[in-house]
Amino acid sequence: MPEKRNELRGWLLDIFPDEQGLTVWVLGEDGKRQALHHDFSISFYVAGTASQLRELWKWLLLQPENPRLSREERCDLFIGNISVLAVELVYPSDLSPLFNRTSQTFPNLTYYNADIPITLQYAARYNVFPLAGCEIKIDMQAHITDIRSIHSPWELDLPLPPLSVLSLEPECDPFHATPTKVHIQTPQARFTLSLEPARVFIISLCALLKRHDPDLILSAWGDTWLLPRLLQMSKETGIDLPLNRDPDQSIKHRDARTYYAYGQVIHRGKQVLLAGRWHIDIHNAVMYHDYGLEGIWELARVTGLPVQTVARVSPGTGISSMQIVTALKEGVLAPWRKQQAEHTRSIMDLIRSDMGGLVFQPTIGLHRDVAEIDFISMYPSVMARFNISPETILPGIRDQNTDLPATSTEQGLIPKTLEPLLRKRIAIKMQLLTISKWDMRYKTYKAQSAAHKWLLVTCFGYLGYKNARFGKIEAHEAVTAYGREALLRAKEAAEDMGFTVLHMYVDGLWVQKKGSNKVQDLQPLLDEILNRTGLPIALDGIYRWISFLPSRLNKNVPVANRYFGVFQSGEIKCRGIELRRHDTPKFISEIQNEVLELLARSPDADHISEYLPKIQSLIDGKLYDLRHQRIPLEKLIVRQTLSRPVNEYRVPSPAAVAVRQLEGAGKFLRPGQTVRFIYTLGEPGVYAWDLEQALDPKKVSVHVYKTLLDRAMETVMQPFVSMQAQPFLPLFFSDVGNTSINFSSLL
Amino acid sequence: MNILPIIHTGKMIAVTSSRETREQITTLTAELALRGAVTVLDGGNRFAAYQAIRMLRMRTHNVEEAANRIFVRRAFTCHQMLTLLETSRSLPQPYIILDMLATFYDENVSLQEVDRLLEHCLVQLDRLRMTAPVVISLTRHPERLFLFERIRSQVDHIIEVEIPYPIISQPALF
Amino acid sequence: MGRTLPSITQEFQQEEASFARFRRALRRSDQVALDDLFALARQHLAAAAYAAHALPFETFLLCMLLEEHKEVMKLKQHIEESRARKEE
Repeated sequence: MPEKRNELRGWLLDIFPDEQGLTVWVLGEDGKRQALHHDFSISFYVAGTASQLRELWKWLLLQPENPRLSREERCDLFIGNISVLAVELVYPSDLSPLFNRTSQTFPNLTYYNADIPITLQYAARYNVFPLAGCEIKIDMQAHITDIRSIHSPWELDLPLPPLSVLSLEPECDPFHATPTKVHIQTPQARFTLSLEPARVFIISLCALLKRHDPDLILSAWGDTWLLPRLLQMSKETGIDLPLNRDPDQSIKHRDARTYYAYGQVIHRGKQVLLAGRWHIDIHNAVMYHDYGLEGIWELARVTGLPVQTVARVSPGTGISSMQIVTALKEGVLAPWRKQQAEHTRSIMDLIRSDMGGLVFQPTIGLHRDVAEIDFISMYPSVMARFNISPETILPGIRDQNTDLPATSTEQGLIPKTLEPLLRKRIAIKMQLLTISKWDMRYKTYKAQSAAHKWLLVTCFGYLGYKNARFGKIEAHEAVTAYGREALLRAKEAAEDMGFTVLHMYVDGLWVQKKGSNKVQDLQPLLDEILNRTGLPIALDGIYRWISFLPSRLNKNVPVANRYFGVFQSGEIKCRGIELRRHDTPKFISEIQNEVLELLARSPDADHISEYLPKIQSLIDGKLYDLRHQRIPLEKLIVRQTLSRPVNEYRVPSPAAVAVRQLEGAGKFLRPGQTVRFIYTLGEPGVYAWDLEQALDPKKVSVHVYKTLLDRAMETVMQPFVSMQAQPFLPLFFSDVGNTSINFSSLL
Repeated sequence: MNILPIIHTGKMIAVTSSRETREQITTLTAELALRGAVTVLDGGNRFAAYQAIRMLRMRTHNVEEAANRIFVRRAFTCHQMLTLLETSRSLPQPYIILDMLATFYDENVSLQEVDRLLEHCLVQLDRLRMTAPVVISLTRHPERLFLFERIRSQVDHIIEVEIPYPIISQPALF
Repeated sequence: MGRTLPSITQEFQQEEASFARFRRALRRSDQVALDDLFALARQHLAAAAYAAHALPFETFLLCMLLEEHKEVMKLKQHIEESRARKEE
């Protein structure tokens, strides 16, 4: 059967342009990894006046890339059909150089589809995606003639190719101390190799790479230290190190960068990207601690971005890629540069629109039998349900009945992009509710759910991002307007049904009603809210008790997102307290957590006092350990992310002092990176953890750590202290400040 | 400094931006709104809407009516600033362009590109001033001074506010 | 894109700060009362934001009044209850 020979089934691993088209790396069903060739012509489009385009046409005819030119009708999302000049290139690698020269020579024209990653173009044209199981037709020269995916990225339980993984992990953080050994994990064994002598190490690594031919090199600090170091060693010893599987491609290096996103300074270390196999550095991957490899696979599938890219992308890139693929599939042009500007409006309209979600102030204190209900993915649901998209929003027009921003009826690009993702997310949520925690799929679903959440959360922010191709500030504002409306309708529904609303926060409500402390008691309310808002809402849980905390500075002022409580299941939920903060030393957060767990054992709020002696002895023990240097130094480390260069710190904060100490030792940190230090006795009061010389445990400032502990204890104990000993006593037990109370008086 | 008496149709006035001038521009916006419509093109994302309304409150009972005569459009990139100007109609109403150069100081946009965009912006400003006065507020950027100078060469007046020397008004107690 | 207008909390803090001179000249006991009024008003910042009033301070004043009235109602009820108890 001659046809059989021309067909291949396998998994799509990687795609990149080569000199004459595309290289497509496939993991065959037979286990063979091979690079196939695919001819793939690619076009960009130009709009302008007729005379401008005529001039461009003449100029393009003289270019060495020899593009095919034609006049076409294409759809601009905001204008509709327009006449454009299509510039088609037979070799995709020609696009970028030709486009760069074109845009420099003709800067006043409007360009489309000019800078779209090739994988997205490929995903849109053939309906395939990274890791997809594919049926591939090939000709006699192993050139692909057709490729088809067996699955859709929106299916649940997509099979994963049998990947071979090689893990490389230096024995310690290279920023802390110079590693001399590397722990290696192959599919069969785990062992450690010394980096010196370099020759022996490189030869061994070469042998491992040849024997196992890994699809993935999973490293720790591989981007920022290990791989650059290995390449250096390979150069010095003159032994070729085949990190790349594809011998025709070079290894790609990307510089470190620092950017500002979602109110934070973010630092991404430099990157080392391989061809034909993947390299993922667990410390340089985005949200790796949250969703791991499973999350990365899922993001690659749904965004269409290459695995190595999606592991490291900045917020927004993932969702933007999904929008681009939708646009390409719909035949809509993707503008090179955003052209939209804000429409004219009065300042009264600005005042009404320029605000975020509603954040209420909770009723301070301890409350029993409180239900927390949350809208599921509120903002993306709003976009999908109310058709909010940059091209559907009708600027300046409000719906007559609801007074909300009006939208057109035809489904917009953003809702079209979000719908399948939201559907998959809800399907996974349903699965998570029904299957057992020990089910094989549980962890995978959790990771996928976390990855989806990350995409959905950035989707809203990206709509308002100044450089977003398909962004528009009015659409961004409309989303918040619908969100506020939904929250208020939910509040009204709850109050109409006799509930007291204790707190509301953007997309969640905390409600209480005498006698309503079972799941079924809440169902009518959920139904009513769904009915009034059209948005899915779910019960997060019922708290046995919950405490909303006041501001640290003023006990009368409530804080929106500072609370802790215990669900009926015994699970603890807390926000805004020490143990949730990244800069809290483990010593403190672990004790706070233990105390909460003790409190959680109490069947209800009335029996909490019975647990106080246990808490007291727990704390006494920990303080004894602290005074006698029995707490490992690692647990005393404070981590702080630098928000600006150290010379811009006006007051020498402990973090700034630690950074200076490191600079003195030749170690430099950039904004967005984390500095680690320990509080010490005397001047300057801190010691940078990553200094060469280890800290003498006797130098640790017991006083500072005790103060931090006191504060953390005050946070969790104050609701119970005020419950027992009126009037309010601000400190639990303390020798800081001028107030102190005797703990035994509470017992 | 009072800008109001010197603004006329056909005139383009530049004001160097500082904390003091920002307040003056806000006052000017309110003053103009008492007389008719005024459009603010905001390049710095910092139009002080509430202050403008407070000033209106001091002068009129119809606060909302006057506030509804202040129109705003914001640009978050220099490309958007050009789009704003290109799509602003020639109206017999004053235009105030706030922090006109703020988005042009974005390091991610090349010098060549900001230069090109500014030239196009200036063409648009010339068009707008045919029918209405145009007031621009702007700051200097040490690495992109040519942008400031280019606008300076195009305007009829430039008002640079010197920071007043502090005058001790209260006699010493001792 | 960053927001153009200050958040309601920032606006509230600015308004509060603009009365620093007024506050300074008050007696210490009156200062405490004034601080209480502002702290009470804070509880309704979300409603004040949603109101999107041209002059937020007017809304803040209403927030203070609202809390004052709640207090009056509470006291009234208290008095009536104790009177009822007496009459029994």
